[in-house]
Amino acid sequence: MAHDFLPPWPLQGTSALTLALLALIAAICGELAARLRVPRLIGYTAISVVFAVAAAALARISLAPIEPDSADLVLGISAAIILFEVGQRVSWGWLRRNPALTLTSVIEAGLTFLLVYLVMRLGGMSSLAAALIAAISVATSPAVALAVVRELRAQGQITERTLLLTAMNSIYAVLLATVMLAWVQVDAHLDAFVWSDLGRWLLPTSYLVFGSRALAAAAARLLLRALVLVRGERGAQIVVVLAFIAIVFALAQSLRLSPLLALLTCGAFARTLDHERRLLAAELGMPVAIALVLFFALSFATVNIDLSFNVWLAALALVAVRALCKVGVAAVLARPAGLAWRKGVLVGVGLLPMSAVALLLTRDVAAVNPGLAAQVGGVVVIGVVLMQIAGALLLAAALRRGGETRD
Amino acid sequence: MDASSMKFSTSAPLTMGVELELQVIDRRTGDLTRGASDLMHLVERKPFPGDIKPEITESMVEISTAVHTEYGPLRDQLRSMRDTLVVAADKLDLRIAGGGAHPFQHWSERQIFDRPRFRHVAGLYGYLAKQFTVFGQHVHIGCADGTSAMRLLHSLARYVPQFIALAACSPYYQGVDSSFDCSRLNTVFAFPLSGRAPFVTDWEGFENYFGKMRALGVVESMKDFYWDIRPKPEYGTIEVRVFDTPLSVDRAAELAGYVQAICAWLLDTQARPASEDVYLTYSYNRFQACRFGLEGQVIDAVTGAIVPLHQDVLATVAKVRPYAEKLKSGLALEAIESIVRVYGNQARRQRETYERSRSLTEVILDSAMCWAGRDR
Repeated sequence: MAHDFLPPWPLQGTSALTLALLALIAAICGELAARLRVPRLIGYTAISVVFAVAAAALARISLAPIEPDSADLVLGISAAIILFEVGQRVSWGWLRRNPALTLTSVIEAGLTFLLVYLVMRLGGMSSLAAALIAAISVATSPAVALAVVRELRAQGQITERTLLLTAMNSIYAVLLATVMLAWVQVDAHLDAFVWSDLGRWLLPTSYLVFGSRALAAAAARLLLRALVLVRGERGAQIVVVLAFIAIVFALAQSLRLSPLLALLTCGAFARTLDHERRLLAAELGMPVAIALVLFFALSFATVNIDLSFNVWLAALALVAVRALCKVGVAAVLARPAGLAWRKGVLVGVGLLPMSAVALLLTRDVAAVNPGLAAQVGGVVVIGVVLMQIAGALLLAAALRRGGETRD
Repeated sequence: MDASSMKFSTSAPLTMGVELELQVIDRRTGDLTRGASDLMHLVERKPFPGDIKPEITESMVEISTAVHTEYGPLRDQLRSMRDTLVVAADKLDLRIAGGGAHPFQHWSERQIFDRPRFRHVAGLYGYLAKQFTVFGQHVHIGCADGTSAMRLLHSLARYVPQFIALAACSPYYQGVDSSFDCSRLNTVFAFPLSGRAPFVTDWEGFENYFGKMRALGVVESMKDFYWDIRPKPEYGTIEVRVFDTPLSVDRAAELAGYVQAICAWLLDTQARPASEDVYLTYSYNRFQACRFGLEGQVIDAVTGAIVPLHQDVLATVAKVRPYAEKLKSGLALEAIESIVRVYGNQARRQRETYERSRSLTEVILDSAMCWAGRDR
């Protein structure tokens, strides 16, 4: 009698199975973290790093590695939901009403870029690699900010300023990375910036900025109209919003725009245009919670982590210089921006988290110039792993210290 | 507190002052948010045109005026305090709103302000303390001595339903239409020492009463009484506490001017209640005012007449007008009259906003616009 209806033995797991197990274990680790009074995302991240480091061991127990394509899709959509939510929560009009706050944002980002660049150059990096690392250092993690703020149910000036400056930093980082990318594309072997090529990167950057903005504005308008059609049904409202998020994400990719920029601004437009408070009523609480778990669980699961000494040294230098700039500027400009300087320090601390969104920025560069990507990637990965975990702890501590949490 | 601090300080009769409890609001969601201490930090960098202090939660601030003799300067001070607060709130991305209660705040979300007395209150009253995130206007009227204060207090009790109905603006509470114009006072009623002061008509008698209550351990200080009108011996005033915080500072000043005019009339005519019978219909009338606003029907305990409150207000306005003219608060009285004849109270405005938008967020953000003086 033939037994070919039975599966082969030993069983071969699929990528989907590994993905599901990862999500399951991550959720449980998150609760363990919560019992230790640390943010849940540290549990999710820890398991993500374990999966990355132990990929080979997992294969031995018949667990297939997670396919990069499916991981990227889940990671991308999760990040999209998070960015849309942050774009909506952030008060963009505040920048107009409080110019000193805008100045804080610009100076903090500018100084971070400049000093990290100089330190990386001193460490012997090429100017292009140093500039790329500096651009990524500007970014603050919207995912970590949102996760910690939600988990602690934080409210107040430190919370709101951290979210706003985080969103701004993400935008600066995208713009800077775009300029870098154009620079790399001009000549894949070129190592220094050529000013006469200004026009060559001005055009792609403008396309990216204005294209992403146009996409975001159109999507936000249509989304608010679509929400009228499903008024009264919570489930359908949520599906409509998620569908729009996925559409913006997909279109931004196809059009070679920035999904990050498009989704942040789409959230911002939707907030501003939501006069009838349709989006506010849809309230994405649960999908955002799910997106955060998946985002952190997957953030490093498919990344190579280089543990050599030189890379560690550069990463630590990056983290230190970056922290100095962000905390320093936020503290010095706190008073003009209407806050006690002590709270300004806490806002600066809140800007320290980094996350995998920064890693995504390096990916396009890797596609064009693998050598450069290798040089940059190691340092950034270590920096991001460190500052995703330490940054989350610091942000939580800052919000507690400022008295903006419920415990 | 020792007995000497119950001494009634003298103040000039008919002087007045106003305290307003205000909501600190998130610009996007319209929900209450933390911000009182940051707001105060910012406001206090320059001399504040009045007084500002924290209240029991981080989502409430209280402002108070100086002592005034006239309606005009009182209104002007309230306006300049408002302007200062609006500028600070803009800088912190907050909004400030009047209104007696937040239309949809969930009380368990509120955080108790970090001060010993507030911690004590929260510990004692439990969920009542958090539910007590309601916002009122207090009007102080100066009195020459304790005895005249107690007499004025009891004479004024008859007008409490008018005050409630004119100021009512807390129709929505915990996300629903409470069906009351003023839902706030229902919350106040849950406290054991709310209601009215005992019928004592001289200061010695009151000191006696207070001494007994303290000896019994019921109260520690005057602060523990949540009466509709209570004497405030250290200021030398009586304090009318039944007003919802109005949506605009102008309305707050008008209400104070109205109270002042009534007091002037009461003092001049020596009209005062002959017996405690005046309180027979007190709770009933009070309920009518809270529930139906100016449409409420009140019963005069002395004559037995039943009158709708809007009619009662107009009759009172006519009676006290000469006194208002003398006190230069004729404009305040005109405004009170037009509340009754034209606009209705501000609970009506809030219900109209909801009808138009079907959104309680819109109701509270509209209140914030009104408070900022961008609309009446």
